[in-house]
Amino acid sequence: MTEPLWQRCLQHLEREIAPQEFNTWIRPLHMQEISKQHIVLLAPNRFVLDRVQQHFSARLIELLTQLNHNQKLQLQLQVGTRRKSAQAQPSTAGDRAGQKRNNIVSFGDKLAQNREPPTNRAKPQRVWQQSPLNQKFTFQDFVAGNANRLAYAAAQQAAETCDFNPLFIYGGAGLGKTHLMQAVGHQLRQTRPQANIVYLPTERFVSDMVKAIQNRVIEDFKAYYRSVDVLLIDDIQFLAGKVRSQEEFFHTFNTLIEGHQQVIMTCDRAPRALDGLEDRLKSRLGSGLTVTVDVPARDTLVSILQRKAAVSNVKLSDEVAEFIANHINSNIRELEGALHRLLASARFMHREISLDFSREALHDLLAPQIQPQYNITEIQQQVADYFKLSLEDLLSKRRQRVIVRPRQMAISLCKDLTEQSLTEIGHAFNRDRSTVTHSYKTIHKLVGADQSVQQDYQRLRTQLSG
Amino acid sequence: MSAQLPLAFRWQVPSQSFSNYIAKSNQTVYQTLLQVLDKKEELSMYLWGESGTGKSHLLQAASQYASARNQIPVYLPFSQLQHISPDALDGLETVDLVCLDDIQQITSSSPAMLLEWEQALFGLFNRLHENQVPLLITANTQVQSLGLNLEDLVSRLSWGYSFKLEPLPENCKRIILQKYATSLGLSLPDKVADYLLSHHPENLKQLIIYLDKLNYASLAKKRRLSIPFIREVLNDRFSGE
Repeated sequence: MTEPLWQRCLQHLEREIAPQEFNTWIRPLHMQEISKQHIVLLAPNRFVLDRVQQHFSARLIELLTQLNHNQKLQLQLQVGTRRKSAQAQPSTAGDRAGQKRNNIVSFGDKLAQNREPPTNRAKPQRVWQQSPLNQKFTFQDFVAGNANRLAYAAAQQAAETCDFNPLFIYGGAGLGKTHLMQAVGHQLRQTRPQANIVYLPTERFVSDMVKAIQNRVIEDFKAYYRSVDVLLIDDIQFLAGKVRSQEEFFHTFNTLIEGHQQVIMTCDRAPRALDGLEDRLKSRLGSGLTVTVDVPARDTLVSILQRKAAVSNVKLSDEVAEFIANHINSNIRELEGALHRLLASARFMHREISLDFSREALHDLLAPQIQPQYNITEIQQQVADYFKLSLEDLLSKRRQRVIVRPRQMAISLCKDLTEQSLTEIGHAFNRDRSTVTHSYKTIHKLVGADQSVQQDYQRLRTQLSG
Repeated sequence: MSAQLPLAFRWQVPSQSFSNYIAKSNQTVYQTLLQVLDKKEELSMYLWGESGTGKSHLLQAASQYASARNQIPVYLPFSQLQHISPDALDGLETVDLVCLDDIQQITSSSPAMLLEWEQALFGLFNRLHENQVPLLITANTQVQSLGLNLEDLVSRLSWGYSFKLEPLPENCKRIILQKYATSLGLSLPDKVADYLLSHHPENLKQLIIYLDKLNYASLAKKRRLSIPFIREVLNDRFSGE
C-alpha cells in the first residue's frame, strides 16, 4: 500500500508545484510507512530535508491525510535512504568470518546506521559492507610502458611479498595510480583469501573519522584500521591541512608498518613535496619504496586505446588510435573519455570508425588540444614567478645555475607548448636557436633523471594549462 | 480593470520529459543518455553547451525517467538555488541518479569556497562511482575550460561521456513551441508561432517562459493566442519592468 499512496501523492504534487521545484525537492523523497498513522519521509541529506520541512511539509501532511481516507497522520521527515550500496553483502561486525570472506570492507558502512530510519536506528546494527574494487583495474588490464614500468613491477611485487612497505605510488591525475593499487587488491584477494584488505579514498578516511568522533566510536575506528592486513589508501594528498586526520593516520600507519601489515598509498606528488603535511608524516610516507607513474609514451597510449576498444568488441585501427593519442596524451581518463564518446557516436550514427569520422565526432574535445593557447610571454612570466625570479633575470645573460635552470625550463616549455619556431623562441630569450635546442635537450634529459626537475616541470605545465 | 486570476495556474505546467524532448542533432547524446540511465554504459555524463540547448530539459527528463522506474533521483539546478553549499552533495550516493545542472556556477565562488566545492564534487564522484550511481552534469563549457583547479576532479569529469549539445535548427523551434503550447492546452497557430520567433529571437528557454506567461494571461483574460494578444501581453511585460 505504501507505494501507491506515495505515488498518488506525487501525482498530485506534480500538478501543483513548478516542474523544477518538484524535481529538486519532491522527487528525491522516499516514503516509508511505519503504520497506517505513521509515515516517515526520507530525504537524501540535510539540504533537501530543510527545504522540504520549510516549504512543503504542511502541504504534504494535508495531502497524505486526504489520500489516506482522512485518517489522522503523523508525518516524520528525516535524512535517510532505502538504498544500500549496490555491492553490499552485509555481515555483522561480530561475524569476523563473514567479514573475512568479504575481504574488502570499509569502516564507513558501519556509520551508515545514522542514515537509517528510526526503526533501524533504535536497534543499531554494526553492518560492514564490501567496498568495491573496480573490476577493470586488474594487472591483466594494465598496459605497462616505460613511463610506469617501475611502478608496475613494484605493485606486482607488493601483491606477492611485503618487502616494500609502505609502497608509495605518485604521479599526475589520470595516469593509472588507482588502477595499479587496486590491481594489488585484486591479486591479494586471490592469493590471500583470508586477508582483511581495505581500500578507501583518503577523503573517506577523513570523513569517517569525523563521523566516528561525532558518534563517539573513535576507539572502534582506530581499532578497525589498525587491525587490517592490507590498507590501500588513495589520493593521500587530501590529508593536507587536516591536522587531526593526519595525527590519526600517522598512528594507524605506524601500527600497520610495525605489524608488517602492507600499506599502499597513491598521491599526486612525492612525499616531500606534500605541502600541509607534518614533516614526521612526510618522512614516514617515504620510508618504503616510492615509485612514480609518468605520462605514457604514444605507443603505450595507442595500446591502451586499442585494448579498451577491444573490450567493447571494436577493433580500433592504428591510424585512429594514433590520431587520438596524438591529441590527448596527458591523461588516460581523458583518453578513455574520448574513446567512450567515439564508440557511442559510431554506434548510434551507424558509422565506421574511420579517421575522418573520428575527427568529426571528437572535434570539440580535440579543439583545445589542437589549438594551444599558450604564448611565450605568459610562459616566461609564470616560470619567473614559480622560481621567484624577476623577468629581467630570466631573460638576462647571467649564468648562475639558479637562473640558468629556470631559463632552460622556460625555453623547453615554449618549445613544448607553443607552435613558435626555434628561432622565434630564441629571439624571445635573446638567444640563438642552438641554445634553444640545447636547453630543450637538457631539460628533457633531467626530467627523466631528476625527480625535482620532473616535478617542477609537471607543475609548471599544469599551472600553464589551468 | 483587474483580470480574474486563474486558480492553480501551475497545475497546468507540464514537466520536462523525454516525450517532449526533440533531439535532432543531439540524437547521439539522447541515445547515450538513455544507455547511461539504464546502466548499460559508463555511468557519468558531462553535457555542455550554450543556454537554451536543452541541458536542463534533459536532466529533468532523466529525473522523471528514473522516478517512473521507482528510483530516487536528485536534481540540483545550481543557477536556481540560492545559498547552496557543498554539503548539498552529502549522502547523494544513497539515491539512484544524481543530476547537477549548471555547475559552472561554482566557479564564481571565492577561491576558498571553490576549493571546498571541488573537493565535495571529487568525493561525490568517487562515492557514486563506487556505488554505481549514474551522474549527469551540465555546464556552459567543456570540463577543461570550466576554471577548476583540482586536476583530479577535471580528470574524473573527463572520464565518462562528454558531449556538446548543439542548438536546435530554427525550423525545429516552432515545432517545440507548438508542442509545448499543446501540452498547456493552448493552440499556437503557425503564424502566431512565427511571430513569436521573429520578434523575440531569444533562446528557447526564454520563449518557453513567455509561453508560460501567455498561458497565464490567456486563462486570466479568456483569450486565445493571437498576434495582437501576444503583442499586448509581452509588451505589457516589458513596460511593466
